[in-house]
Amino acid sequence: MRLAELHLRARGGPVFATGLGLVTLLSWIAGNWIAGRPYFDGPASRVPVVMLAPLLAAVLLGPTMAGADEELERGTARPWRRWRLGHLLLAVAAIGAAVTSTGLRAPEVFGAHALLRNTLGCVGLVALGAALLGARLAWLPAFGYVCAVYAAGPQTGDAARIWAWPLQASSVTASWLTAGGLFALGTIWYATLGAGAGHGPRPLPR
Amino acid sequence: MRRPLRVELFRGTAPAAALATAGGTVWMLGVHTDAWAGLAGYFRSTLLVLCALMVAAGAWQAGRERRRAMGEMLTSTARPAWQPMLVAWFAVALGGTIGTVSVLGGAAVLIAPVATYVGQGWWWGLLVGLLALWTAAALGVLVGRLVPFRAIAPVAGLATFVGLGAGTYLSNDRVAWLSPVQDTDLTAGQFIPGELHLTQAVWLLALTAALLALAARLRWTTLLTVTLAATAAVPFLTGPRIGRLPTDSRAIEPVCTVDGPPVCVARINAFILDDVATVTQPLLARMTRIPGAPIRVADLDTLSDGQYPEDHVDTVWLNLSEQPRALGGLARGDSLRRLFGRASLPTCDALPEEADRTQYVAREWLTDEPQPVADLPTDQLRALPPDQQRAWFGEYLAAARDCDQEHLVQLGERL
Repeated sequence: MRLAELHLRARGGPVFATGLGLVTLLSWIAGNWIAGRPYFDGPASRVPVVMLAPLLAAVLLGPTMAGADEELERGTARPWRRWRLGHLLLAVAAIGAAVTSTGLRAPEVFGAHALLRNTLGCVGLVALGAALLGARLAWLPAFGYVCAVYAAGPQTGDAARIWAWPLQASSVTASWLTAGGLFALGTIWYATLGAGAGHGPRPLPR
Repeated sequence: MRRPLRVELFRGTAPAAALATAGGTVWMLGVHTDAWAGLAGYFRSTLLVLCALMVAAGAWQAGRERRRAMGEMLTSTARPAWQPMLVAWFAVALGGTIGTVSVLGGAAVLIAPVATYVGQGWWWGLLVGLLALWTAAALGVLVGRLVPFRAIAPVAGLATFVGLGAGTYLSNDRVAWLSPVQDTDLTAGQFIPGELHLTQAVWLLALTAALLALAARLRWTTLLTVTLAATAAVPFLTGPRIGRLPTDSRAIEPVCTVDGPPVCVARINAFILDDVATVTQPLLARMTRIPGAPIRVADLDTLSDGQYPEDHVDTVWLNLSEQPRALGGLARGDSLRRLFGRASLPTCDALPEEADRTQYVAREWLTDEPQPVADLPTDQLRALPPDQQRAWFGEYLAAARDCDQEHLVQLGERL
């Protein structure tokens, strides 16, 4: 338990938890504001919350994907694969629970299921980013991809069910499979290999 | 100072900022091709994405000192600390501007041969928009220097996007104009007055200076620039309501066909006049010499803001706002016939089913568009001699205008 506490502190866990709390609060406020506008109608109006809240939470997760000195960490006699897997699963559970809870009271209005699906996909992309680019740039693939899909606007068609997964209704199975696949791929890759080299050690906070 | 700037331009965040803004501009133009017609006006909507990208780029650039542990090295140089920061900001702002302008320039080259009207004072809108990118970069630099967090760049970018997006839902009064992002629809013939451009430009310049002074921690300069920015914001906070933007009278001037039944569109839509005429003139010709039938087509954009089409039965008013494509042609040519059918015929609500069917028959006869009702006797109508077809249609128009249910049912039974 002590080790887990030290691990989370070393990875910036408190900052992440504070950020996640803020994202949850903002998601709640924005969801209520949109649901309370008479000129907004239908699931399309909640897209900003359904896409941006999980993305923002996943972006906050990025810096926690590596410690201050990854090389030094790997030199210690710890089962890092299991620690990394646990770290990611705990993070996705925390993000999923927090973000999804903002839409649970009326899932059909606030898109609770879509929030959960997008959490899986975004965390998967951040994990992939961490494994490939390092923790410093872990946010880049998720940020770039989700923003591009968001800017593309509503998409229909068979291919869009896969590539525009964050925008699809939660009843579209293909979008869940894509988001789940990204999460599985990112988790396995990150848990197995850890964060990429990035740019060397991070200066310790003073 | 030129060498450090060159180094920053090529080795700092500037190339990434240029790529990001160019990509963002291409993307926004690509997914909203119908909005290209008012390119300068649409650029102000595109700023919602571009400002967010510039804030992210500025924050990334400013976080470099911390990431690379350059603090001590920079303080050991003979230059004051604000100078490298200013050069770094300038490089990012320049990179973002180059990325945006290059794409907009390319788009303008594509549109220029097609466009029939560019809009009044469009360059001011463009300049103030570009100025907003510089302000956004300064905000990013400030946030990046203040917040020691690895992922501050994307977080600041997303927060900017959300904040500016929420700002567009403010009522269209002066406070909303503190934001550079305007959801103004210049394609509908509205324009931003010059004094508003000027006030916005002064506000953005003062805000940029204040943000940079804050980032550089220059106490007296900060005091001065913040005072300036607050003064520049006063006209937005205390002035009278702006309300709706004025109409560009030249943009909404009617431009009409010279041959065949008259079809008129606003000057901003004049590049699709032939396409609209190709669809609507045969339909007008079909109603020639029918008493009470419309004889001309007009574009709703030719009306001034707040003006409504007069209830002239001889004119079919069409809403063409979603029709123009950036490079010419109609975006929804097939829907134009349906639009014409709906706009040209009087419609009565709460009719009995038989009378309702007669309305669908008339609409199908006129537009050849399939109607949402099965087994309509339109073919029987078309089997009649042309004179009788027109007489039937004329009777229908008279009955529909009065919503004479009995007569409408009778007309249906006659087929």
